[in-house]
Amino acid sequence: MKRYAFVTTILLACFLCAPRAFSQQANNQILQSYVLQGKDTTRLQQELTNKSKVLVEACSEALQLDEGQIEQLRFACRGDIVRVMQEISELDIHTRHIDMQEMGRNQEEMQKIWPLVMPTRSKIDEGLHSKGSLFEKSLKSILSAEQQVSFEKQNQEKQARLIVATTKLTLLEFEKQVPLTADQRNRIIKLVEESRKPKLVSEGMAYYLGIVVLSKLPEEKVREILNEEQFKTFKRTFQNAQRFGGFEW
Amino acid sequence: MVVKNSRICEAKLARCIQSFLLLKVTSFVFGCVILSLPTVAQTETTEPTHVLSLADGSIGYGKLLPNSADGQVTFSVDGFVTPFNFSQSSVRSIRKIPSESEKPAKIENTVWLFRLKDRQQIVGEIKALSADSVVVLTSHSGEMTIPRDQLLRIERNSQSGELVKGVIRADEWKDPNDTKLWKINASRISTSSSGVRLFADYSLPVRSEIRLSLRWTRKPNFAINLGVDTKTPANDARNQWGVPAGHKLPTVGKKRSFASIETWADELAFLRESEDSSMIKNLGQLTGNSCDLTLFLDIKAGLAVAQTSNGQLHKLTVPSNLIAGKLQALEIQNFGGGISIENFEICKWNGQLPIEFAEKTGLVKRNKEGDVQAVVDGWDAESKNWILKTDGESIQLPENELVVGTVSIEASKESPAAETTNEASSAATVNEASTAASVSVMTADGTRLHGSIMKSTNGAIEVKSPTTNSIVTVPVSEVREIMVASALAASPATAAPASSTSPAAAETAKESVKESTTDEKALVATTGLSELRGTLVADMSEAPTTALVWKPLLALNASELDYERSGEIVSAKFLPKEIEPTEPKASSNPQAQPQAGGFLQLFGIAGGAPVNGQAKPAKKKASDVASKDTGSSPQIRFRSGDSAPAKILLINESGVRFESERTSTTFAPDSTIDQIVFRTLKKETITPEQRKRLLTVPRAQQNDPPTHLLISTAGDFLRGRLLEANQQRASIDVRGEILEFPIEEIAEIVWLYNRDWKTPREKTETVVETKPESNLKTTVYAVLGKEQGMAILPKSVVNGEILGKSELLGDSQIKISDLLALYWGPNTSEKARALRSQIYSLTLAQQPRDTGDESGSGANSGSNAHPLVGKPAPEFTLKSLGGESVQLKKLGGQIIVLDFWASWCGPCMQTMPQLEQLMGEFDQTRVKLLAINIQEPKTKIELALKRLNIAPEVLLDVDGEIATAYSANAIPQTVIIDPSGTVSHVFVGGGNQVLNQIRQALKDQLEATRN
Repeated sequence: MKRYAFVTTILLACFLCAPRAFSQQANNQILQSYVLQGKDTTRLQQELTNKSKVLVEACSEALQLDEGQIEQLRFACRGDIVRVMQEISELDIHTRHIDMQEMGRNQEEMQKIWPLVMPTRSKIDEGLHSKGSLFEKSLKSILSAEQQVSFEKQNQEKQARLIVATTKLTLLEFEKQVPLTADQRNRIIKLVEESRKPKLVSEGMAYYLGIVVLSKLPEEKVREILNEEQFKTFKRTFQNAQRFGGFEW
Repeated sequence: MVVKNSRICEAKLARCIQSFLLLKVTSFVFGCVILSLPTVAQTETTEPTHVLSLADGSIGYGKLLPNSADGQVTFSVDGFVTPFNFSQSSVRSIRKIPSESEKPAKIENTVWLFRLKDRQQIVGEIKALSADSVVVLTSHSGEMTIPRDQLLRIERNSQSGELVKGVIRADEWKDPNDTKLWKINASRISTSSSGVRLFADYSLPVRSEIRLSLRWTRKPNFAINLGVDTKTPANDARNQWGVPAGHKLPTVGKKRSFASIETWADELAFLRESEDSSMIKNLGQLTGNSCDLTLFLDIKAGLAVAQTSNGQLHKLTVPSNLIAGKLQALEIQNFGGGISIENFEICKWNGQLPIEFAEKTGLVKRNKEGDVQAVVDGWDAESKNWILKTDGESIQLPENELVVGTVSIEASKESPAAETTNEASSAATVNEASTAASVSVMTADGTRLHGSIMKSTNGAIEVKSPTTNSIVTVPVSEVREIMVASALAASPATAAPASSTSPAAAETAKESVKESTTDEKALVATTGLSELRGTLVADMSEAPTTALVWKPLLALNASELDYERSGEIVSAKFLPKEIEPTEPKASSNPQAQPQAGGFLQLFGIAGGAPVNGQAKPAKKKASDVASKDTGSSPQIRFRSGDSAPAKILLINESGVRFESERTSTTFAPDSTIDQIVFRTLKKETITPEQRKRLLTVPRAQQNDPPTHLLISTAGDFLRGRLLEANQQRASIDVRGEILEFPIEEIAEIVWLYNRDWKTPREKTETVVETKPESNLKTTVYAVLGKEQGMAILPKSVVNGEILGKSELLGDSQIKISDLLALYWGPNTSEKARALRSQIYSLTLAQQPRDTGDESGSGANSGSNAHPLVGKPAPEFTLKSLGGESVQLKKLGGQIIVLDFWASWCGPCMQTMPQLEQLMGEFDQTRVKLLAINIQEPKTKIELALKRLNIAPEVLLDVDGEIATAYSANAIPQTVIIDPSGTVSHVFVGGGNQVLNQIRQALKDQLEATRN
């Protein structure tokens, strides 16, 4: 039972445990719990700024951007940060009066607050410069055609490496239930490399990439690699992840 | 009396006959003296051509006129007879109102734009270019000679000229969330509140040029969306997610526009954005507190270009299908700080972008042969060739081959950023309009000159330009914009003298601005869309045509009010403060910054339409109004709308004797009185239903209705006929009973003249009306408080008081400091009427329908089909004929038969004896008949019963309320209520058939009860 529940535990931990841990510290409990997740706005802004710098530097290095392009990307990143901080500021105004304890007793009211806070929360979780961000949308106009092809290619390669890496990580977790031999592990990884890979649309779902990929592996080929007991456990662990959203196939 | 006087008016004012007759009719209903208010018809007036914006926030629509003195502006504001003269340092701007009939002259290739230092420019043909000067032939001012050293460059003219919107119109902007936190007038759009939006469908041309002048305060955080889909929902899309009402959601990042300008921290971004792509340009750092931007949009081609004040262009080219929809609207969002849009000018754009050029390079752009390092050195008028000088050589260039060429290799002083090519650092610089000259005059063809306005000698605007050291003459019709560049105009709070005016004069103007914007005693005159802060002064002219003369605080002269135009003067304390972004208060309280608008809305007194097309303003705080309320001082209010504080001495049938400090008159006829207010009740003490009932008159009383309503200090109401009231007691006849009350227990006495029917006496009576005795045109209505006002014919203004004559009250005086508003012009009487919030109108009770002969057969009796059948019987408590109170619920356990009747109803009179006889067939302890008479006096009832020789238990439904509750729209109606209180049968009509049915129904009921 304990093994069976490990995926759902992670999901629950993400949405429930962290917010509760910080809820007592904040002035605006709703904002702190569901959007900032325990951070203050200065810290969040700093984090987002740092991430932006790294992202632009990585792009610059990989795509040989000129100064003008780098500046435009930096400006787009600044726009993303300004916008999300503005959203947080407005959410603060509109939620600071809400008593979270009171609202906790009223599920109907609680449901009303989700649509208010979740878009901003998702934006932060998914990475500020992911799909739909000014940064992402500006790339088309900032990059040359050649750079765009290169960017797309590098993105795919990065995605593939990410998939392999997260799959290895997921297998390590899986092996806590039932050990695999090195050969079995390598053959599954090879199978993953050869299979169709999803496109990650949200950084927040990166952790589940490996789980989803493993769940989508052809059953007969997995059966050839694993023994009966391992296969049963494998199937039981990953079969539910087939329905996970947040990926483009 | 009014009739006589009106005849005089007819003779004097032949053109006002129509209005006069209309008011004659109105007077019959409303009152008499109100007719003495101005009744002149609105004469045809020409449309205003320009809008004047003053440094104190005043706005004037009217006509720009040739100025009468150096350093002044002469402007005729609609609604005032004499044009006003203003020191040019008092003026913020004058803008031309676009006219569809005026089309710009076709631009020829031979017309060039000559750019001068300090952002001046002249559009015209080249006539000569020598070492000393350049001669330009302009379409509006003839030949102009410019010193050569002032000329920077010559470029092909790309000014399209056709102005689509030159003046901000408040009625074109919508606040989707109805926050009332925007201040909009012809001069500017401003707010200091966060989280507010403004939207306008401006029918943006496909190719448009938009000129914006932005000012801000604190940390600006705004977005201006251009080319927004006109079908954009009022609320953000996320509101559709079921977000609770009242939550305003973040709207950033939800772009639905062709292009946007956004503040990103301390930078200004220009961007286009769709679901999957975006293009962004950095317009620079937000240094200072203002910037000018010119935007070029080609929605069809998908091109958006921003030009910053340093001349640099920032292009956004994205596929034109980026955003779907009809992209013709504009949207302003403010998320923080204060924003003020000082200029929002839209022109049709001819598709030609301004030439981006750096003078220091000494470059000439040629049409076919490309760029060359050279300067334009001369002009050969014979061959029509430009003479270029490069490396000591002269080359000739055909006129049309020149695109742009440097004349003087010297950077523009006002655009240091032009030297910088780095986009990030190319600032949207502070508005650096030259302060060397006091005004900037722009003409329709794009010529912009700096200088000082001089006294006109030839009927045109004359500008003395320090650059050319000459006087340039511009016809008034060609003036598109006059902007005052002085700091005084830019910010009243930090006003500084303009260079062209003397420091003393500027200081005076500065003080005037401060006084005008801060003095709560100041008044604001509103005519049409104009709002001028100022004061009423005495007419000092030799032959005064009117007693009231208006002097705008920033004007150098005063003007008579134009009584052929409607207008009002309102105390400035009831108008919104000018929203200056310098000292804003972030507030979500709509009252913090109420919108400008009509006086009526400010008080929330009447449901009048918003004045001037302004957004409906927030209601005035109750405390402000209360301060002008009657308080403990008794008031006499007249049917005309006039009122006066008065000590009431005696009230009787002939009228009211009183004493008032406002007038020497001591008696008012009964027919002129509307209300005596001894003390104001704090709040309404009756519900609308109770009020309706109170004012409903039984049909039996229609010929002798109650004439007065007494309202007690406890909030109780009593209607009847007031016999007499003195300073101790009031006596009133209530249905033949004389009641007396101590005067201190009475809050108000209301005269009940308004009724929806006429008594026989009224039909034959000649209406006695008070005569107006002098010029109707000059009668004004002064509003002095809630429900307080006076129509007065002003004679003079002395020591802060308007002295004049009231038709009702005779010689009267009004302190200007007591004025809340003063109306004049054709609509004055309507405005005065609209101020009356409590009108007590009597209504005659509904006529019950007689079932007539048809009912004799019982054809429409339908005992079970009635909607009341099966439902609990409506409860009632009625007085019996004997004066006892009968309550239905206390009759439980019996079968009750209700017979609704009236003595005038023939079938009722036929059925009643039969019904009484029928009731004799049943046990009287088990079946009880109650004959409910509808709205008839006791005497009539008793007479009817005597005639029929019957004695049923009659209950009196005095106001017909119970008949209504039982849907007794047709009588006779018989209702049977079972012992449990449920209606079992309803019979409408009489006759044997119905009586048989009633008999059977009662038998069935008794049987059922027995079981």
